[in-house]
Amino acid sequence: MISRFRQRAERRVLVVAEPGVSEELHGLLARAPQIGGALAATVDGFVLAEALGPARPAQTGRPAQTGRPAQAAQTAQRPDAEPLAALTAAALGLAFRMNEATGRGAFRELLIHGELGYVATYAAGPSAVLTLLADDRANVGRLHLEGRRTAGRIGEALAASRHSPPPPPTSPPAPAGGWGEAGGARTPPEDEPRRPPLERRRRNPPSPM
Amino acid sequence: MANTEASLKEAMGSIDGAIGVALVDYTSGMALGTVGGGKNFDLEVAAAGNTDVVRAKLRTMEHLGLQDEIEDILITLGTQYHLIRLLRAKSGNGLFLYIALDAGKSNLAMARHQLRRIEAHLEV
Repeated sequence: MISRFRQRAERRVLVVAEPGVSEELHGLLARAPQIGGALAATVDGFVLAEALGPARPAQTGRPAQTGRPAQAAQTAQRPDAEPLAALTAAALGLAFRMNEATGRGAFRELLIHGELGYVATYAAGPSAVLTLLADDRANVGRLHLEGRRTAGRIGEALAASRHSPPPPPTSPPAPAGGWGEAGGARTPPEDEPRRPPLERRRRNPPSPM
Repeated sequence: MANTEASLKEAMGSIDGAIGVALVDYTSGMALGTVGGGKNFDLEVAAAGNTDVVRAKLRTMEHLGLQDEIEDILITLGTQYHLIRLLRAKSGNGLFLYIALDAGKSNLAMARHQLRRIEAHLEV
């Protein structure tokens, strides 16, 4: 399990921070102090930006961290983001299936209420999601308002960056409208088995269990 | 005894100058029902925001050591009155009624009296 997350973390060297997304997350936390953490991720589990509270001291048991580009090390000092993005992708898969099976249309949000707080996930455009963490005293009405608003803006920012020309000439141009392919630079290595794009996944009829 | 929908409609219809009315759960900040409002007055936003108002006041009372309860809260704007009335019946624990009034068209004393009556008959 850990090694899988590490693999993901290594792969994330390829992930380029989306302009404006991180600013949106920090703006959200400043505006709504009851929101304890925010994470923007693609629907297939890649971290786009995160603001999961105060930075933790760098973990000693992760030698893979050394020698990484500064860009990746910036988010790597908070290891919670990676598993959370992966879990969000897994939870979304189930949520999409539930939505599909019950005919509720396109996915909008997912709210998990635990004894000690809430985990809320909002669709941010077609290829990304915003996950927010709040404690049990949180005002859910406000969580929804802020979450929907910020997710909408993140979706717009991603759509805008998708239309801008892809920066690296080495990677092939991303197909328009593809899931999680908001830029050529974020495409995972070719040998990685990719999950099918979400739109396609959604159209597949749920197979009998 | 009247249900939520009927009570909100009655408040909207019988209180002069009413812009919008909502029944709000202040443990979650979500509205159990809304009537009125519209594009220029989002009652969901009002429900979430006024939940913070009620919670702040309850916390302040606790810090002051007051063993009391809030009956209602009046907020006077330039052109509007906003009235918050906490439900006192056991079934309405953690809920409040919220009404926004046009200051020029409403009678505050009458509105407060009517809201009290509607709250007393509300069964959630």
